[in-house]
Amino acid sequence: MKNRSRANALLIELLIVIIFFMFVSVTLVEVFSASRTKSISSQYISRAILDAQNVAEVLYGAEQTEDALQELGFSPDGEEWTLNRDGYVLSVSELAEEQAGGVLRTLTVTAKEKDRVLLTLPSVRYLQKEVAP
Amino acid sequence: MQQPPRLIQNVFVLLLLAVFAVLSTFLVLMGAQVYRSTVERSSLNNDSRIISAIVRSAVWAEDGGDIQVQTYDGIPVLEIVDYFDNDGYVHRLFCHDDLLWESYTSAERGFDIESGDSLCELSEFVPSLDGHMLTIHMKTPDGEENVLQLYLRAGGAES
Repeated sequence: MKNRSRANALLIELLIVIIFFMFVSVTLVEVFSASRTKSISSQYISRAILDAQNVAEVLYGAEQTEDALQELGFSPDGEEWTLNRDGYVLSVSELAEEQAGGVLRTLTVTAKEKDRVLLTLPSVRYLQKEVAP
Repeated sequence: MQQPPRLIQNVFVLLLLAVFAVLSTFLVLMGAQVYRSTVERSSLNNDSRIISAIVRSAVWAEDGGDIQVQTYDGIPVLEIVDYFDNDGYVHRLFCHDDLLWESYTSAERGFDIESGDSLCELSEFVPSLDGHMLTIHMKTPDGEENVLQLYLRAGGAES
């Protein structure tokens, strides 16, 4: 009888241990999953930064913004130009301010992961007008 | 009253222990896998961003000088020539032995690998100049390829 009750106690103890272990493992699996998602997201951010910097440099030197954007693979999307990459979307918007001596061209390169803005990079260049002799 | 067989009870206890052991091993292995992949990704990210930052800051720091792409003994070299008190100094970036090297020497002194300092791991560094656009193709030892593009604003662009 004593042996039987000891065996039952051991069984109950084991079951309780396994139940606690299950609660802990659920929490740990959530943490692992979040860690993996964050790691992948940071990889996309790194790539987006490099990509956006390159795009900003190319657009800075371009005389015709639209031609340069088309060469880079962007497609028009309303008032912006967008390019889909693996894990993020690059978009470029242009603002041209006419001034007395020329045009202040501001191109804003934005990288988005779904609806979250990863980074915004402006590329500003002043294009002087030709001076009449 | 008949007692249930002890054998079944013992087997059930052993089975529970085995399930616990398997699940805990699985959890540890999963954790190790997640940790390893996170460290690997983080290392790749750091490598690409560090190399990009090194090259950009080197070019921007001396964009007023002459930026040239030369080849010495089959090694493509990015040269940034600057002048102080009529003396020319050359800052060189190149890849050798799976490492990114930089050297800063007088313009009179030619290219010498031994005079450089290694910065970080890199297996390929190929700069090219097209007008004012400097393009650098890079490859890390892990196989990740990156392209860096810089528009030379003030500096003379010579290839």
